[in-house]
Amino acid sequence: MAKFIFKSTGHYLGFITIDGNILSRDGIYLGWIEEEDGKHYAWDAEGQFRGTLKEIDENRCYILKNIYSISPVPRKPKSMPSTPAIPAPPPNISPTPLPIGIRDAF
Amino acid sequence: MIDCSRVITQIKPSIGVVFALNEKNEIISKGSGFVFYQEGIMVTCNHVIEKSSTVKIQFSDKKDVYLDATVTIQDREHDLALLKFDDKTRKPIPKGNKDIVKEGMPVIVSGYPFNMRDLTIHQGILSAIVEDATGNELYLIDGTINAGNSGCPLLTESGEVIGVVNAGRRESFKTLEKVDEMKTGAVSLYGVDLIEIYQALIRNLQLGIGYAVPYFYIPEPKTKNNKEESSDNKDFKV
Repeated sequence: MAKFIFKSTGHYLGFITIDGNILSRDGIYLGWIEEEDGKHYAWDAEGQFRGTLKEIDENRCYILKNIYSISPVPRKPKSMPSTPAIPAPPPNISPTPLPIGIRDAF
Repeated sequence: MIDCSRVITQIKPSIGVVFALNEKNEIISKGSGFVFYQEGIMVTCNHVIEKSSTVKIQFSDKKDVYLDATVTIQDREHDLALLKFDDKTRKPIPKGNKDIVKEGMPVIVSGYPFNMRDLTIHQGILSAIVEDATGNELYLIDGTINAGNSGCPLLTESGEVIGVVNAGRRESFKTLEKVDEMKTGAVSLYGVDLIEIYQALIRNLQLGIGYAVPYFYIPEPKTKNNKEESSDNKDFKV
């Protein structure tokens, strides 16, 4: 089942597929999620580090970047293996205030 | 100020220029590297060699000789690579240990910045021991780090390796990131690509802070029980 990602403004950004790919609400490939030591990191399609996945529940995730953190070495770019079914977009949610130095990754 | 003269005499034969060449035998990238672990094994940064078809090594005491090198291990996560080359006369630089690495300690950087073929030596201090966003440790160096220094050793004042300098990393600024992501070929002035110029300027910004990857991330060379491999097997390259 896909996980829905929202921006801190509450706008629906897209979803994460079961195999960890990040897609926009229109099904455009944005990148992928990698798990490391229990944390989930987001990389964009070009392999650049974008941020950390914050999962409030399976219907509400954010991908956030600490602007004061040092970006890791870019990964090898990945392309989307196949286009999955695009879930019906959920309604936007209430905005969430972000701490200082944290911003939406996408 | 550290007197590096004794150290530089010892390490000079073991630090080389690394050239990455394309299929047409043109140089597409250049960095530094140093003999480590054993004779015939050189450490460099993965970004120096990752787009190469072939790799050559040159040492400052034999500028007319380009040695063939083979990429044996690529560690993309830490931006490190091991090269194998055929010259057993060059001795590995000794490894430091974690106990001697302290913030504020004096450090030496020795490599081949820009297009230089002569080994340069710089000194600075280890400004900070930090972690990147995924938890990998990094050393920040207050010293002169320029393009071409990538892959050169970060040394203690007694000449032990404590890290691998990475000139490709830099502080990220939102505006600069955008320029870095721009596609080249869109804007030109008198036939010169402006985006390429901006990107080159950013790459060569001298902010006085450099990065080095701690030595303990350097992958070990092949032994009977330790087959050569990449941290990401898809990156495996022979």
